[in-house]
Amino acid sequence: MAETESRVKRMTYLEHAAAILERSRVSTTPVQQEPADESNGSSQTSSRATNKHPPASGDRVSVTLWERFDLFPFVTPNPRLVLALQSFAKGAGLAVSLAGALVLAGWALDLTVVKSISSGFVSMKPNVAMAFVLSGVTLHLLSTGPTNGHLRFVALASAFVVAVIGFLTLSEYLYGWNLNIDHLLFSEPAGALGTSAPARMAPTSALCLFLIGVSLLVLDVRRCYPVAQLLTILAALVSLTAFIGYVYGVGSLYAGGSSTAMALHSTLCFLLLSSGILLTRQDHGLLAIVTSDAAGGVMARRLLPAAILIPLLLGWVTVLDEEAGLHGPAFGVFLVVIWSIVSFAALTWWNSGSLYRLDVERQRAQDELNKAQRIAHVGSAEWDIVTNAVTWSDEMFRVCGYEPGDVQPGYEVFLQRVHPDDRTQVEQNIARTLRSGDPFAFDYRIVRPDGAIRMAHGEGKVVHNDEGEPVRLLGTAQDITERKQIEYALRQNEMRTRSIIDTANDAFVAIDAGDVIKDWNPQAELTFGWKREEAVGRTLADTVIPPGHREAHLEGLHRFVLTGEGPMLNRRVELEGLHKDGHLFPIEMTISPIRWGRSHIFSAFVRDITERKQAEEALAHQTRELTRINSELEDFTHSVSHDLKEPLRGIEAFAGFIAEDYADKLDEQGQGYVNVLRESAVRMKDLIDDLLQLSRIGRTRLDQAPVGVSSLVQDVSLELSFALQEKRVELFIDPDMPTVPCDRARIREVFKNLISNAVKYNDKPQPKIEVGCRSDNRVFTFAVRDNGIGIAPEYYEKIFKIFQRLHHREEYEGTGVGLAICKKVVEAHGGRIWVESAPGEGTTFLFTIPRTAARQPGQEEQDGKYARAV
Amino acid sequence: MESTLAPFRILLVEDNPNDIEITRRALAKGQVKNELTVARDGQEALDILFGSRSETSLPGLILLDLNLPRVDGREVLSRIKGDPELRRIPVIVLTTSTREEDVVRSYDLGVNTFISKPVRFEDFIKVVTAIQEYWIVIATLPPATASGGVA
Repeated sequence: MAETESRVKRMTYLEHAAAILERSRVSTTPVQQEPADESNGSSQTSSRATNKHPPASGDRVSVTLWERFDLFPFVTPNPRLVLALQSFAKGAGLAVSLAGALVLAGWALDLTVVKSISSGFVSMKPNVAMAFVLSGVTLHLLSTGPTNGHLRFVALASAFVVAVIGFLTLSEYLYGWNLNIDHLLFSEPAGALGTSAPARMAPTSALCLFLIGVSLLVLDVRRCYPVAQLLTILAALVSLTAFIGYVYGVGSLYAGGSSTAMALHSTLCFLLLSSGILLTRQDHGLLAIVTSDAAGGVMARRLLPAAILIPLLLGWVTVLDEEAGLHGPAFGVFLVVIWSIVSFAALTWWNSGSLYRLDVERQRAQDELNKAQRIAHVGSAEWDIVTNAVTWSDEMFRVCGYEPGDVQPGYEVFLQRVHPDDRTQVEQNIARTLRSGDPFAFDYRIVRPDGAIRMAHGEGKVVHNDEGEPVRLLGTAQDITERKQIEYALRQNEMRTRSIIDTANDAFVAIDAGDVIKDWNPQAELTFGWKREEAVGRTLADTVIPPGHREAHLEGLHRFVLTGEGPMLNRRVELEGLHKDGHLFPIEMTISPIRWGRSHIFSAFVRDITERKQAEEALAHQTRELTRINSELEDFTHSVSHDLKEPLRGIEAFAGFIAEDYADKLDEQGQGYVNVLRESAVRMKDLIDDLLQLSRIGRTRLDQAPVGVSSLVQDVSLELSFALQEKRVELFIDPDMPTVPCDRARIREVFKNLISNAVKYNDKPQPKIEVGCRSDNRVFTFAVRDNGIGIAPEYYEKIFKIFQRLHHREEYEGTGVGLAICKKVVEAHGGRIWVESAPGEGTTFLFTIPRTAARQPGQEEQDGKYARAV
Repeated sequence: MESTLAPFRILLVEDNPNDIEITRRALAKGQVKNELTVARDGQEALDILFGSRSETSLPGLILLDLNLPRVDGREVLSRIKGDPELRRIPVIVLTTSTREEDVVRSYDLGVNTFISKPVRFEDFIKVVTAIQEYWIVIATLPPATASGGVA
C-alpha cells in the first residue's frame, strides 16, 4: 500500500519534473531524460539517500547503473594520497613489464630460474610474459596522466592484444582447439611440469589476461570505471587464489585439475597489475570512496588492508602449523577463529572510536548549522536529481510552517506551500536553473498550513557531475517577512514623506555640499520652470540664482562647510530667483543644513512671493493713500470748523454789539431775539467742537500709558466742582482703582462726560454718584453709578448714537454727542460701554478697558516692519 | 493815570474785517489806552514792521492771525522771530485754529502766547483784557519795544 502510494507520488513528481523541463522547452539533453530514466540507482546509493521509499525498478528502466554515473560523485580525494597511488600504479606497470621481459629473456636463454623460479614450479609461459610486457606498458602509459593520441593508441592496442591473447587461449581450452598461438614466441618441450599442453598458459592465466585486457580497454570509457574495476578485481581474486595455493602449498588452488597451473610469478604479476589498475583510477568508481577524505574513506583505508591481510596471514599461520604437525586441524580452525575475532574486534573498536568522534563533530556541526539556520530563518533543501531524494533542514520545515518531520519533504510539498500567484515564477526560476546551470535568487510568498502568509527569499544552484550533468539542486529559503515588513514600513514612510514633498505648495529643493541639486519637487518645476530631470545634477547656482548672487551663494555654502557658520541658514530670507525663461522674481527661501554622514545636504523650501510682494506694495500704497486722505480729512475738518466758527463769532459778537449799542432802540422782544441769536451761535459752536472731537478720536492714535484712574477721576471732579457743588452732589470715588494702560486725556473725557451726565440728569434732592472699578484677568470694568432719573431699557442702545437726546433742550442742556464720544473712546481702547438702569432709580454706566494695551492700526504696521527686520 | 501815558502801540494782523472790529471793540473795552494798527495780510505786516523800523514806530505787541492771504501768519512769525531786533516784540497768535500742529509749530517759531479765539464775545473780551493786563501792565518788556510803547 505504502509502496504503491510512494510510487504514485514519485511518478507524479517525475512527471512533474519532466513537465517543468518540458515547459522550459529543453530539447533532448541528458538532464531531461535522467530523472525519468534513472530509478534503480537509489538503492545503490542508500548510504546517502534519505528517500525512505526505495523505488522499485520500473518497466521503462533500461539503462544500467554502470553506464550511468560515478558511485561517489562528490567525494573529494585526498590529493597527496592520489599522487602516491598514481606513482604506485606507474611503478606497478613498469615492474610487470620488466618481469614479463625478464621471463621472455629467460625463455630465450632457457633459464629455469627465470622461467619457473624453481624447478619444482610450473613455468610462466612466453605468451603470458608477452602479455605482461604489453599490459604493464598499458598500465604505465594510462597512469602517467593525460597522454597524447599516439601513446594512447599504443596503450589501448597493447591492451587489446592482451585481451585477444587471453580470449584465444581460453577458446583453445573451451573448445579443444589448437590455434598454434602458444609456440609463436618460444616452444616448450612436451611434458613440462604442470603443463597440459606445451607452452600453453594456464586457463586461469588466460582468464585473468582477458579480464585485465578488457578492463584496460574500457578503463577510460565514460561510466565504465566500475566495470573495469570489477573485472580487475575478478582477475585479482583468481590470481590471489593461485597465490594462496602457492603460499599454503595447496596445489589444487593454482593448478585446477589436469590443466596447466598458473606460475608463481604470474600470480604476483597479476596481483601487482590488478592493484595498479585499481589504483590508477582510484578517484572513480568503486575505489573513489577508498581514497576520499571523508569518514568513509578513512574507514575503507583502515579496514580493507586488514580485511585482505588478516585472513591471509591467519590462514598461512594455520597451514604452517598443520604442516609442522604441532597441533591438530581443529586447533588451526580455532586459531583462525580466535585471531579473527580478536583482530576484527580490535579494528572495529579502533574505528568506531574515530567514527564516534567524527560523528560527534558532525552532529555538532549539524546543530550549529541548525541553530544558525534557525536564527537566520534560513531553511535549506537538497534535491538529489538522480535519486529523487529530497532533504530539508529543520528550519526548512519551519519556514514552510511545519515542525521538522511533520511531512515528507518533496518538491511537490514545497510547491503546495508557495502562494498560488507565485508558483509559476518559482517553477520557472528552478527550471531555468536546471537548464542553464545559473544560480537562482528570487522572492516569493509562502502560505503556511495555518494560512499565514510569509515572505521568503529563495536562492539556489545546481551541482553538476564531471560530465556536466545536473545531479543535485541545492536551495535555501529564508523567511524575510520581518525584513519585508520593515522595508514596507520604510517604503511607506518614504512614500509619505515623498508625497508630502511632492504635494507641497512650496518648492522643495535639496542640494549637496557641492551645490549639486539632489531633489526637486513638482512645485519647484512650476516655480522655476526646470523639470526635475533637468534640474537634478545641475548646480543650484547655475539654475535658479541670478548671476549677481551666485558668487555670494557659493561662498556662503563653502564657508558653512568649512566653519559651520551659516548666517543665511535656518532663516526666512527674501531674495530674487531666476526662472528658466530668464525672468527674475521675488522668492522667500529657508535653507536648512542636514548632517548627512560626514558631509551635509541642504534642504530649501522656496516660495514664489511675487503675488505677496504685489499685495504688500498695494497695501503700502493703500496705507499711504489712507494716511494722505486722513490728513486731508483732518485739514478739512479743521478748516470746516474754523471757517464755520468764524461767522458764528461774527454773529454772536455783532448781535451783542446790537444789544449793546442799540439797547434803547430795541424793545424787550427785540432784545430777546438778539439773545436767541447769540445763544444759537454759541450752541452751534459747541456742536462743531464736539463733532471735531468725535472725528478726531477715530483718526488719531491713542497715546497709551499707565494711568492711575482714581487720581484721574479726582481731577475730573475738581474740574466739575462748580456743577457738583451747585447741585450738592455726593460724589464717592473709589480710592483704590487700578492703574490701567490708556490714553489719559481721552479717558478723562469719558469720566467727565459720564459724571457730568450723572449730575445733569438727576432730580433727586440728594444726588449721589459713585465711581468704582472691578477687574478680572482680562479687563477692568469701570462703573459710574447715580441715583438720577434713569433710562428706559429701549434707549440703552440709542443713547450712544450721535445727536440722540432723550429730553428737550429746555429740560437738559447738551449737544447729544457726549456719549457717542465715550463709546468711541472706549472702543478705541478695545473695550465696550453699556448702561444698566431703571427709570427713577438711577443709572449705571459701565465700560471696560483691557488689561493689555489695545493694538492700533499704526502700530501694526510698525510691528510688521519689526518682524521683517528680525 | 493812564491818560498821562502815550498810547500803547499794538499791531493786529488780521484779514477778517469782523474779527478786526471785534478785536478793536474788545481792546476799547480794556483799561489800557492803545493805538491799534491793522495789517490786512502778512505782506502788509512785514512791510510795516521792516519798513517802519527807522521811524521807531515799532509796535509793543503783535496780535497775529495764522491764516492770512499772501504771506501766511506762520511765515510772518518766523520772519519776526528771525530778526535780531523784532524778535523782542511779544507776538501773540490769536487764531480760530486749535490744531495741535499749529500750536506746537508756533511755539517752535518763538511765539510768546498762543490763544484760540473764543466764539462768544464776552469770552473774547476776557481774553483781550487778560492780554492787556498781562503783557502791558504786568510784564516788563525790553527797552527797544518799550521805547515804542509805554515810555
